[in-house]
Amino acid sequence: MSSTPKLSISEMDASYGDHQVLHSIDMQIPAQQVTALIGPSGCGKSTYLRCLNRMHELTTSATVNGTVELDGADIYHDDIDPVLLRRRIGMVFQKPAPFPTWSIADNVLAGMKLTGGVPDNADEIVEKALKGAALWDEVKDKLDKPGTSLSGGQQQRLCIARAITVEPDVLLMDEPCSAIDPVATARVENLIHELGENYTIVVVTHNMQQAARISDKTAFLMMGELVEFDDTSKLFSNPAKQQTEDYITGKFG
Amino acid sequence: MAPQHTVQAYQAELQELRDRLETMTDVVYEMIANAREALTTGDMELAERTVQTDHQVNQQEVEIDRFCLEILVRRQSVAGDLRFILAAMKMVTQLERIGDQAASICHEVTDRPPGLQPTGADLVDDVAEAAKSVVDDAITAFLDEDVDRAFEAIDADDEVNEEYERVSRQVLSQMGDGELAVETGISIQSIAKRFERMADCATNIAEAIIFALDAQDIRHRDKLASPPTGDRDHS
Ligand SMILES: Nc1ncnc2c1ncn2[C@@H]1O[C@H](COP(=O)(O)OP(=O)(O)OP(=O)(O)O)[C@@H](O)[C@H]1O
Ligand SMILES: [Mg+2]
Repeated sequence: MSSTPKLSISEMDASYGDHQVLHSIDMQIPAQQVTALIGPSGCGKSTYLRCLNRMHELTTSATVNGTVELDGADIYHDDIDPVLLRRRIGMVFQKPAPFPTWSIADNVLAGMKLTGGVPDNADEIVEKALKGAALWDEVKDKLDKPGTSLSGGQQQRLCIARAITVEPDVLLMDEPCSAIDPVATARVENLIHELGENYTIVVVTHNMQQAARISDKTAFLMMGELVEFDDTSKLFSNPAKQQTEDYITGKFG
Repeated sequence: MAPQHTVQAYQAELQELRDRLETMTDVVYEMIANAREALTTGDMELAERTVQTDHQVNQQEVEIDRFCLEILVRRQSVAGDLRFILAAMKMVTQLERIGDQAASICHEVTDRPPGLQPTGADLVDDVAEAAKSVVDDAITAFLDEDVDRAFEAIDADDEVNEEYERVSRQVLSQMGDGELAVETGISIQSIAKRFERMADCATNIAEAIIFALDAQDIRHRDKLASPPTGDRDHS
């Protein structure tokens, strides 16, 4: 890919108190592609994601060093409003968490309701987002029903709809399929693939085959260090590092 | 010890695949030796037996292929494991073809009119020896996971081609001089061709082995036209 990276991360460290979790990460995340993050439990994947939209600092005593640039501008600069930043860099969590008492439509608009207000064409926005999240056909006749009345897989797509309503540049997804069944997983994967045409997506997954299926690039993290970052097809067919090979083939030392 | 798969059944399946390939190489290897012996001695019974062995090799090809598919479906193999399985599938195809060639050589022996001596068998000795050496290199490269040996196989194939050219010329000239009956000449020519093809198959095996191991060992090679992609560090 010749274009400039969407996110440019250099020498990024992250800690909880004096426990350093990420060590000098350098990574260029390409625009409008899907980048997968894989690695053993506790290696720092979720922390990494949260550093990319400044959610890490919401944890008490959590610190970040180094630079993260979005389209060339440092997201940790004093002038940056983290709330607005998170509209440009949205996040979808492991467990779908719609606002329980809110209707499906209101859930889709949640991002707007919480950060400034809903425009007049709310119906249009809801429809567009739900179509974008491949959920429209399933819910179009019950938009006023509570979000929690949906199945797990539908809820996850509802959360994706909520995340794309504010038209972010980047979507961060932390194990978006870990709580849903294979069919719902296939739908969400499909969606990630489609969204990847317009959005820059960074997705954490524990499922190696899923990473291989949905991503253009894959990063392998181990104990807070970036071991390898390459085209997904290369990484899964011929990894450059022995540690990567052992991890993706399921071997222990 | 090399790292083991966390899933022990998977580890066992890959080991079984290796074992089955080894068994198949043993059989094919013996077929080549038998074909050469039948050629020189004219031993009909040995030739007949070797032709029969070919069915066993065909069967092994089908079974190993199916086993590879099963592993792929069940384990969704990646990286070195994936390359090994893909190489195994290529390898069995080539081994089967080598077996075919050995069987065809034996047919030349069994189809000989009775009483006709194995005249001219010594003409193919050199090409047979050269071909056997390529097969040797390829099979050893596989068993020992030895990339250098695989490259030797590929290099040695040139020699087989030269030997084959030499036999062809010699047969032609001896037929011209009337030293060799035309029928015998053609038979020898086709036997030489079959040895040459065996070496081609063995070369394909060597290439498959390099592909399977590539990430580890071929990075410092200047023999390759294009630079290898693997730059594995041994950390
Ligand atoms: N809020 C927190 N306070 C203190 N330490 C934390 C906190 N969150 C995570 N950690 C520590 O940081 C390290 C990385 O955790 P993180 O959640 O980023 O890992 P992960 O790769 O996402 O793991 P998993 O695959 O299990 O989700 C772990 O050692 C964890 O114990
Ligand atoms: Mg996590």
